[in-house]
Amino acid sequence: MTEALKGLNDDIAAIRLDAEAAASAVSKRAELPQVRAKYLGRKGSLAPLMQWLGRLPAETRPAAGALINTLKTEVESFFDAAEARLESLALQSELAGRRLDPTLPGRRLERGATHPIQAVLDDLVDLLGRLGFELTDGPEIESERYNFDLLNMPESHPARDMQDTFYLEGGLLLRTQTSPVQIRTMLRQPPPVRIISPGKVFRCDADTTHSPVFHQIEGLWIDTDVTMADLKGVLTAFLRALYGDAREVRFRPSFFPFTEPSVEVDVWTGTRWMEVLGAGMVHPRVLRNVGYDPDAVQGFAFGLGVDRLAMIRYGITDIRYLWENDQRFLRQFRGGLR
Amino acid sequence: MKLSVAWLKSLAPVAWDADEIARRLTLAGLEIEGIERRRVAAEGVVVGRVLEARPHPNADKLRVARVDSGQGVLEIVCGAPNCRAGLTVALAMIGARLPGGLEIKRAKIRGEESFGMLCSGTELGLSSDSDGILELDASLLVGQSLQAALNLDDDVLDASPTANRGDLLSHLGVARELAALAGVALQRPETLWPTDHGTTSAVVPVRVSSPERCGRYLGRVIEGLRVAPSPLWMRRRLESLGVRPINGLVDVTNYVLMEYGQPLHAFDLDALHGPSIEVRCARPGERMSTLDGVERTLDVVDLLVCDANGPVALAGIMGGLDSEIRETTTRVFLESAHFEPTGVRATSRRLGLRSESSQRFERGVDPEVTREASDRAVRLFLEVAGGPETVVSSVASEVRAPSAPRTFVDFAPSHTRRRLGASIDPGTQRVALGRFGFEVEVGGEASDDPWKVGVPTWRSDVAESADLVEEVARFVGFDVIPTPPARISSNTRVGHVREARLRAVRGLLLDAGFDQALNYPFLSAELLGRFDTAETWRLVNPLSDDLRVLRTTLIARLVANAAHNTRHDQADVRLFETGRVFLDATGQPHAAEPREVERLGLVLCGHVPAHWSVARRAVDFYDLKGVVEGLLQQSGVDGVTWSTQDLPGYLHPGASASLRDARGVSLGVLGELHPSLVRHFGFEQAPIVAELDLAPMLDGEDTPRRFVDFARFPVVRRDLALLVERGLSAGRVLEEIRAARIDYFDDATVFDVYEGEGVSEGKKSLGLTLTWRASDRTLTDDEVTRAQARVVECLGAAFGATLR
Repeated sequence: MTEALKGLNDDIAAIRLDAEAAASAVSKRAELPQVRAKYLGRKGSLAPLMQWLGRLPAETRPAAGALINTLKTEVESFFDAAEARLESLALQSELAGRRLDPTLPGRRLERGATHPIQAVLDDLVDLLGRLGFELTDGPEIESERYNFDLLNMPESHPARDMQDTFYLEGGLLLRTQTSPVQIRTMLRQPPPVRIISPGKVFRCDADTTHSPVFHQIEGLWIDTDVTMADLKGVLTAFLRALYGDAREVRFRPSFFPFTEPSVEVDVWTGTRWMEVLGAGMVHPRVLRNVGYDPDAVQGFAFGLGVDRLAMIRYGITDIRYLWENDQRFLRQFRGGLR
Repeated sequence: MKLSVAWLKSLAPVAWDADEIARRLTLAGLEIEGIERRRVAAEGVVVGRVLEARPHPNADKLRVARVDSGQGVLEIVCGAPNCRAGLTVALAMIGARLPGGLEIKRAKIRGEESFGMLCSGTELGLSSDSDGILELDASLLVGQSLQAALNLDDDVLDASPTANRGDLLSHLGVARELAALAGVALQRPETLWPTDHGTTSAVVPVRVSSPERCGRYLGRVIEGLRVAPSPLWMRRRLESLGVRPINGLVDVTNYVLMEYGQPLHAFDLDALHGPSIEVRCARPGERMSTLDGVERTLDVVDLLVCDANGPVALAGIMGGLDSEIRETTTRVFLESAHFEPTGVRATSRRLGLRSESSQRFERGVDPEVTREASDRAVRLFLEVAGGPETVVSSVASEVRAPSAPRTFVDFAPSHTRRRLGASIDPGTQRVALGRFGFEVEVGGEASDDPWKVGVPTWRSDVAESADLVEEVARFVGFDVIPTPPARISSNTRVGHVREARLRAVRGLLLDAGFDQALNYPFLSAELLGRFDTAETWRLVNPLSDDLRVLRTTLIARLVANAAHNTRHDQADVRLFETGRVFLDATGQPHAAEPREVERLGLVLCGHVPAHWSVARRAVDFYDLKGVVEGLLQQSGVDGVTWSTQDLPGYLHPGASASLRDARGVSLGVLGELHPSLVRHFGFEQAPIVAELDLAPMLDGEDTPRRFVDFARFPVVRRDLALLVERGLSAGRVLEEIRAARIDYFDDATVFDVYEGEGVSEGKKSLGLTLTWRASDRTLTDDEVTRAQARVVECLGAAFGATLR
């Protein structure tokens, strides 16, 4: 028995050495199955051993079988390793063969630009919306009644001169301010009212610093107890949100026909006071005009020009750029607007 | 308006400097926009006196003067014709520097040595008159520096009075405000004139035929005047306020205007016919020439001042050419009147003629100041142009309506608290009103007790309690009002929902590479007419023909924008605009109300964004259609149909479509620009444009989303190539397939459209991908083949389609 096993051990050692060398010598993946079969196939080097095993007496068969099985496992592992090696080589050569240029531009549509005036309007609407002002809207073609008369600007009022008006045939006009929206809203609903109305307004006094069309946003808050202190509180919060928390805000007396007292509000730029909005307590006559009782309700209104704000925010030097729709201008506002 | 600080301080003796005055006035409601520092830069210039002036030996036009400089007598060569012995002059010594940068040196002029220079007003930057050297007041101390002697340094404020405050259009009015703020007494100007002047009994009778338009008319005759330049201080003051000095008489009327805000007019009495004055409205067709040399045709509502022959002034606006003050004038008729604001405003606007006078009457002049201003002017006439022979009419011709009763306003100190949200004690409120000239009758000590507050005659803008609250507020300053944290409210945000949808629309367009455009809603009839021939709303007073009609379509301007960009090397244009168009015009005023419709306009031209990996391709209909489809889908507009009917004239009739929603409501149009417009604007290739109504995208009800379970068994996909008539639309083919309701049908899409080789003339090949599925199992090949056959069968029946 020992004699037989000793011979087997010699054979196994020879086959193992031979198989290991053969497996590691394979350089092409396609050749691997063929070489593998030389050892593990039906006619391979291991097959005579199996046949020989069958002929062994039963008592020595388990020990010899274990040895042959170990050999088989080992030879298989040689070829598995060879396969892994070849696969990794193939992958490496595949990787080496591909070199894209990541600096070439990607395939995409460049996002368009929001108009700078729109960007500012959106900000204002958002800020004032958060402060509780409901968005409303009104027509751009107005009557003298809504644009002037009910706002305490009768025909003879000198303030009517302040606003050069475009008239339409038949006596209608292009609104000179967004304030008629206040009138329409108050005529439509009882107090309390808390609205903003952004939009285009029109005045026929164009020059290099004025455009005949511009944008305003206007706010109105009427309730039983809204005071000038509330005006200061709300507008200070609004302006600080817009210009920065540390900004000093100044309120000074002014005149608008539809408010009394009227104020103009300045923000300190660091070097000078910059006028940013007009406001005031709604004139009792305006409240009476819309059927409200000025002894029971009161409140404030404010309005500001949007275009100038946009020009200041983005450093736009000429008002004409805002209306030319030249893409060399507009495209500068692509991407983030802050 | 310009204000001299020196003048203000002479009327209101406040201790504040110009900056503090500006700050105080601004915070009290008179905005000061700037301060101009007017300094006399005349170092080394002193007051001198000419002792002797002899002719220059070698030059006819020059003189050699011996001038007392206070530190010795100097010989100076001078070219001025008015250089004469006894004259007090501005003497620039050797080493002096004049405002223009000229340095005075010792010089030899035509052989005569000159040790300085005698200066004109221009050379010193004091005034703009240049006829000869400055003639100074003989009482000035010789040798004193000119700066100290003339006291001409001043600061000029640039003020913007609000439209309601006509009373602030004068130095006296602003000084009254300053005095109130500082708590000092107002020093009114000197109006008495020396009694040693003679009087004349000459009277010009005055008749006012339109008393409602002219509540006061005061006329005076002054005789024996000499027309000469006004004194330097007056000229300089007028000049610093932007008023050009003319002569003593005219300057005085302007000076009093600046001082009192009361417009005056001086007529040459010898040029007045009658002489008599009537204030009346113009007669039809009447004409007159105003001081500015323009002949004006008058309207029956224009108020005139007339003599026996006709108009001599447009009342409150401008005098007439024929009776203006001349060099030879010695007799003057001085008018000080009060004209009603709306009439002045109407005439001034109609004639496009604004003057210092009309601006003040329009905003309201104190009706009680006519006499004082006239007195002041007479006093200044005597000072500036008078002499021993000057006489003033002993009795003025005066027509005056009784003074209106003083306006009283019901007020209570509690009103301030209610309106301002600040507590200001009643005592302070009373002081505030009193200082501003209000007469306060206190009804009691409690803050609810009623006060009666009398309004001063110069404050016609004050009519009710709210106005008085403002007076108190601006007196104490708005800083006294607290600034509580903003009271925030939550509300239903109906408007914000719509806003969010609009922003989503804009967001999608931005993502699709479109820049947002913004255009005036008005344009030229010519441009709009190329796009839309419908009637338009027209402006009566457009700025120009280019801005005359209101748009009925956004496309006209957008196409013009695209053309502008194309011309400026921006051939790939993607623009959108949201805005209103104005419809329902009939051309007949009052026949209809304008209808404002919110629209979205799109213009696309050039190429799809270039990429190195693909060939360059021009944009076409389907590029923009894709954007619009995305937009409609996002906005929840379903069942959109595209047809070639109802196209506007600006679109190519064969390459455009109109859109309707499932209920047949028009949504808008999309297509290639009409070839004639393409040529007109010089495009190399047709822009693709679309115009859609925004309302369907913004105002629809939100349909709540419901989950629908999807098929778990695989779909079967089969392609089909059909030959159909060339004119048959793919949409109709797909519609027909869907309408056939074939079992297991899931979806059909077009993957190819082909005409040309291999397809007979008049036909096209349509490649369709059909998908089939059952909800409970995987379909067999047989089932799908049978279903496909039914499709071919039904399309054959409907359109004569055959398998390719």
